[in-house]
Amino acid sequence: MAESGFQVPPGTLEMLVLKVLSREPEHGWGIGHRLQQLSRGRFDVNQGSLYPALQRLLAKGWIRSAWQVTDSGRRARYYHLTKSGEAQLAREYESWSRQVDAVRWVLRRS
Amino acid sequence: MAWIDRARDVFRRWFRRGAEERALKEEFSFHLEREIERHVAAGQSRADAERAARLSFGSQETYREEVRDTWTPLVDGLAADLRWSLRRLRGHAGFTTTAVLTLGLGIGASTAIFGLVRGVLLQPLPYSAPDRLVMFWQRTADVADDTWHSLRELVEYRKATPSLSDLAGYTTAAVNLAEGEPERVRSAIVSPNFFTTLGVTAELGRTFVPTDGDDAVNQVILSHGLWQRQFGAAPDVVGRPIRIGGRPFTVLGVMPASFRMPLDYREERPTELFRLLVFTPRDAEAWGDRSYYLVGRLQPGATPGAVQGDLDRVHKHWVETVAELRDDALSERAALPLGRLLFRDVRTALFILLGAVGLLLTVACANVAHLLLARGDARRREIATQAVLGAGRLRLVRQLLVESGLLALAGAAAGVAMAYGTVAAVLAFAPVNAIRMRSVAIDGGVLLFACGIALIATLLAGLLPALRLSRTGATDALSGARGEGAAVRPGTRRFLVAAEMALSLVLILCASLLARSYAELRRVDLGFDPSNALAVRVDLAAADYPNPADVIRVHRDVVTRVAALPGVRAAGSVRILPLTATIGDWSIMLEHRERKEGENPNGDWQVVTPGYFEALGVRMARGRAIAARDDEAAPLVAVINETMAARYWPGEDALGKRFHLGTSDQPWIEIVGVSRDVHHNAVIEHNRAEMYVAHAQWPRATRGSARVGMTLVVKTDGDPLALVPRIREEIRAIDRRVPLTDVRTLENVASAALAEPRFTTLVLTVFAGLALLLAAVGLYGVVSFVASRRSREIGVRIALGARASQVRWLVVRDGLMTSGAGVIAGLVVSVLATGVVASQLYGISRLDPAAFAVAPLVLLVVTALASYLPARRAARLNPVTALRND
Repeated sequence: MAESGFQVPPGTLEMLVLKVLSREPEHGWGIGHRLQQLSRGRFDVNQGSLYPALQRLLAKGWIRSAWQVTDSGRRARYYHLTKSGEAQLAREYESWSRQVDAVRWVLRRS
Repeated sequence: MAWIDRARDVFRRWFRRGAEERALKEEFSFHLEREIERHVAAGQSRADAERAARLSFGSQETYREEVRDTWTPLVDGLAADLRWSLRRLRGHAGFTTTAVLTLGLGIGASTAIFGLVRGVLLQPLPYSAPDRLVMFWQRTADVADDTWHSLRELVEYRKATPSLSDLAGYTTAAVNLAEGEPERVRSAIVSPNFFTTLGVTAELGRTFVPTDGDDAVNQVILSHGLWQRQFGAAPDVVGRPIRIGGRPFTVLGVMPASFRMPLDYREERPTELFRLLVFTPRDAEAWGDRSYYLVGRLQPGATPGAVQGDLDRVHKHWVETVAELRDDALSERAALPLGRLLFRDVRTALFILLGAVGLLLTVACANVAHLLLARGDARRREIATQAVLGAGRLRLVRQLLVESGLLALAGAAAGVAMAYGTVAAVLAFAPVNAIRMRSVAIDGGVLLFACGIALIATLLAGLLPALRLSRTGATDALSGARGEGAAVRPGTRRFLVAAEMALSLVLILCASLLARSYAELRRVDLGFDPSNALAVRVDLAAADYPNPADVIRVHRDVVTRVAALPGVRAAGSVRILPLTATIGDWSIMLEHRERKEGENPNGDWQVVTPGYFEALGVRMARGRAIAARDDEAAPLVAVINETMAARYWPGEDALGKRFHLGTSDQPWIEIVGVSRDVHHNAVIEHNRAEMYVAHAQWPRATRGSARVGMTLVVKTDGDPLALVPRIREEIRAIDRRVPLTDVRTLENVASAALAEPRFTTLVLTVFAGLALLLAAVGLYGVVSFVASRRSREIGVRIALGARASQVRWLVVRDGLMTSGAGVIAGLVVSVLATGVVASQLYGISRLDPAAFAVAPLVLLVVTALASYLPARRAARLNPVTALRND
């Protein structure tokens, strides 16, 4: 990737992955790609963080995985959101928004 | 149900790791492909695209490792801990060996004692529903002190005890077998319902059943052992003839190998022949003719208490209505659960040993904890590093517990091997019949126990060090300080050693109390002299000797011929040898004395030949012993013991007084001697009235038959066993058919009577010694540790002119202070703990001052020795090295 992006802020990668998957099931590469697109090219997702994060989400039961055939006819592992994953996304979104608000208030004051 | 999904996930991943790995690989390669495609689509060449994609993707291996780390962290980490611990333990062979042996000692001893407890006390008796069986016994008497009943009582009890569904009676007798080599075996004569009451069946053929009567009196049932010995385990033995005591019998059945008569558990050898007891109403008329043991089975739903209620009621009735029973101590008779009666004595002893072994195990664990702590000091940096790198406290504790668990497991393996040896040794060398007669074995249950003990040992030995070490302040440990600042305070280790000393003291005290008590028992004057004396059983078969005159002649010949052998000082025969079986009493009538209310004169009856008192070494207090002139034709005479003289002729001279046996019209017997009391039933007993009637006069005195079975006692000049072949020859010369059995020295007889206290004392002493050894090793460790930590201080002292003796004292004092605290704590605990052994003590108090003085002394001497080595090392310290060494 030629344009240099930001690393995903610490602690937000799992939430962002959940968000991507809440739209539709996606495979690992696709998730990275979507994150980049949705952040308008600002986020550069490191695969070394992405795959362990996916495993953690699997372990927590927030996503499930299944092997499917892609449009181009290849086998790929697709991840999709579970019910508890949806709930988790809502919780994280809520808490993240509060944090962002708080940070913004502080910055605005000074 | 998130947790179910999660559990399934964890489970699946753990078991499908290979598949998971492959999936990961495929996923990564797919990712790479797409990345390449993207670069190509952006206009790069295929080769450039591949390079760029690989660059951006990075090392697959690293990702894979990271992904794997998210998998089942607990189990995976555990495996790593295991591998790691194994490597460490292998690397420190000395430490590992010490720890494994120490734990093995504790676990092995516990397992062995538990094996005994389980085999003897917990294993059910070989009857169906054995806890529903009761035996009628004197409430307070121990199992060696027989309680007999008459047939009349058996019949009347059956009517009067509705809470029993069955009541059976039996008596025992020794008989001669005349198959091949003459052999004498224990036999029982049992009521027809005996086997059904116990709920046992035969291995071959059948047992007696309640409907058996006169037609079955010539039938006999064999024990498994006798069947193998005499019939070579012939499968067609049922129906074969067998001669018993000269009379022909037919084999009806064979009992299983596990079968024992209830009272066999106190005997040296089991009962091997079972005959039928058939009696007519006439036989069951006499109330006082007591020679039967009674065993009953509870009605469903009934309790032993209900049977006792029945007994108390019927006893009250008898005392009111039956003249002969008015003076008997019937209220003492109780219905005791069989297991409780049979193992009453050995139970206490085994539980004491179980307690002792628990203490030993605790000491062993403390010692291993100690070793782990000591090694932990050396590992503090390593552990602190792990903590800094993010290992949680739980993780550290687990890692240390895994290590102590491995040690305990190895210890358990060593311990089980030791337990096998110990149990075999106990069975071979401890002549405690109650233990020997039970099939004690290290079985699955015992092994399970060993595993449980290993688990406890893991926690005991590992938890304290693990908690302590995991609390290590990372900065403290890492801050480079090599000196005292960083080391674990010796407080914990001092405490462990003091506790070990305290527990050892408790063990040593109990052991020395038992040993002192055993010494007292050995000192008890038995009333006879067991040195240089031999006893052999001489039994004539009643069928071979129908004529009493012949019986008398043969026994007289045996005594005179053996007495004439060179090396024999005296020889004489007796009905029952002291300390081998109880005698039983016989009512007597005293001349010129009305039977008074509440007085039932009686005496334990012995039948003796001339020479018996001399051979046994029983001194006469007054008058003379039974002599050769007291033959068939001479006036009837008897010797009585001092207790009997004092009881029935108090303040009078018993010599010349007369009595007769039984309450009916028997001939008068004149007392010609008063002998010293002989301890007959046990080493410790209340003196009982005993009377000795001449063997040659017995048929006249009782208007009955002659005694065919006697025990010959031979007093010799030298080794009594050397004379056995000559004695055998002499007896063979008189009658080839007579078997010579139960050959033993009187020393052995006296010693066997103390087998149980000796066993308990010996085992407890060994345990105490081992505990002390472990504690001493622990103390040595802690004193060395403290001394090495103070090496700088000691160096300064030496440099300033302290003498070697002062330095040594400094270190030894440290050891003495530590174990001194343990001794004080141990003494306090002992004051309570000795209550447990109190019931086993004879002749000394449980707070025996000698034991309480000696035991701490032993401990302090051992302490001084264990501290001396590090003290000597400290005194030789080179001050220059010690001071520079910082």
